[in-house]
Amino acid sequence: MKKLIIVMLSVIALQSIQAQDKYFTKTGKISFDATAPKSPEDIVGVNKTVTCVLDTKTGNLQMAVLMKAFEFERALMQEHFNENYVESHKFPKTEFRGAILPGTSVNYARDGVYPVQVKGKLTMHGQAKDVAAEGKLTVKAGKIQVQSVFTELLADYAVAIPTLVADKVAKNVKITVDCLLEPLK
Amino acid sequence: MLQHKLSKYLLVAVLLLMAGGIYVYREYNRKTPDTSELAAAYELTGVQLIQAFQSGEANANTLYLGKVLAVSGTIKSVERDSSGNQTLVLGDAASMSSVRCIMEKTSAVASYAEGKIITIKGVCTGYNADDMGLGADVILNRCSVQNSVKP
Repeated sequence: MKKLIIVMLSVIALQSIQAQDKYFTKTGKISFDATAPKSPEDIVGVNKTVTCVLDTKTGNLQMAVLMKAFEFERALMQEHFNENYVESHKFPKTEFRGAILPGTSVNYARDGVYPVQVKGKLTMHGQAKDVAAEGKLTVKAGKIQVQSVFTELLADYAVAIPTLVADKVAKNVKITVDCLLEPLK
Repeated sequence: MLQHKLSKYLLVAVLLLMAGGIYVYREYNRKTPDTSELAAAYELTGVQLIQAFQSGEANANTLYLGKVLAVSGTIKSVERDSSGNQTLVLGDAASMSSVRCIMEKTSAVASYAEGKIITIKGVCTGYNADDMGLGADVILNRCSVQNSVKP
């Protein structure tokens, strides 16, 4: 009986230690900018419900982005984005599964700004692609802010731009990630 | 006679052009409507909504994705991010699963405390299964409070 209690306590303690290695948010922000030089207006969508988890022990980084949660200035643009471009009824979620590259020096116990490189697989619109991006981690007051700006080619994810607006939508989309992670308790 | 007929056609063409112009202008400038002004496509409890996604995500997506839902449940927590956005989390305190309601107006949940039973109207944007160890969540965007009941 004693042994069983010790084993159970050890498992709970281990889980607790593991949980402290993980940081997360469910209110991360990702925006994209598909504005082309000939766009009559800015084509910008913002998503404020990104789920992001960073395991500081392994460097593994995961994100889940619900496509219907992208918001636009104009309703028509939002409808076109969902129905004609990313087809969010067929592909409701975009996922990133990757890791901070080994060798990147981040001291999670010490406040500071740490440049990092991240590699992983980005799955959007049913297409998975290996991606690499530079970013930074800001460790401050027990929280970690994950920030990155990178570009992705829409054609790599089979997102077709109608010929009529081909020169009004950028083929390379700028993606901005900003997630403030808190320790998982 | 011919001139009279022509001017009639011209008038109709001008009116049609004007109507078309007004329609295009309105469509182009249309904003996403406030969910408090929209009728809910479905009314259900948070537990029912989570169960629907857990038992079949594809079917639940077909039913609920992009639709205005009126979801009732107990307030599990009220979250505010650094930009002032507020999220009402509905669900059983003992469960990891929740319905996360991102409020349209930041002041809307100021007076709502944990444990209250509430009905929230919002647009369902999808489901995150518990594959990151954070619990499963159904997300509602552009939410407004329909009503609340004291616990």
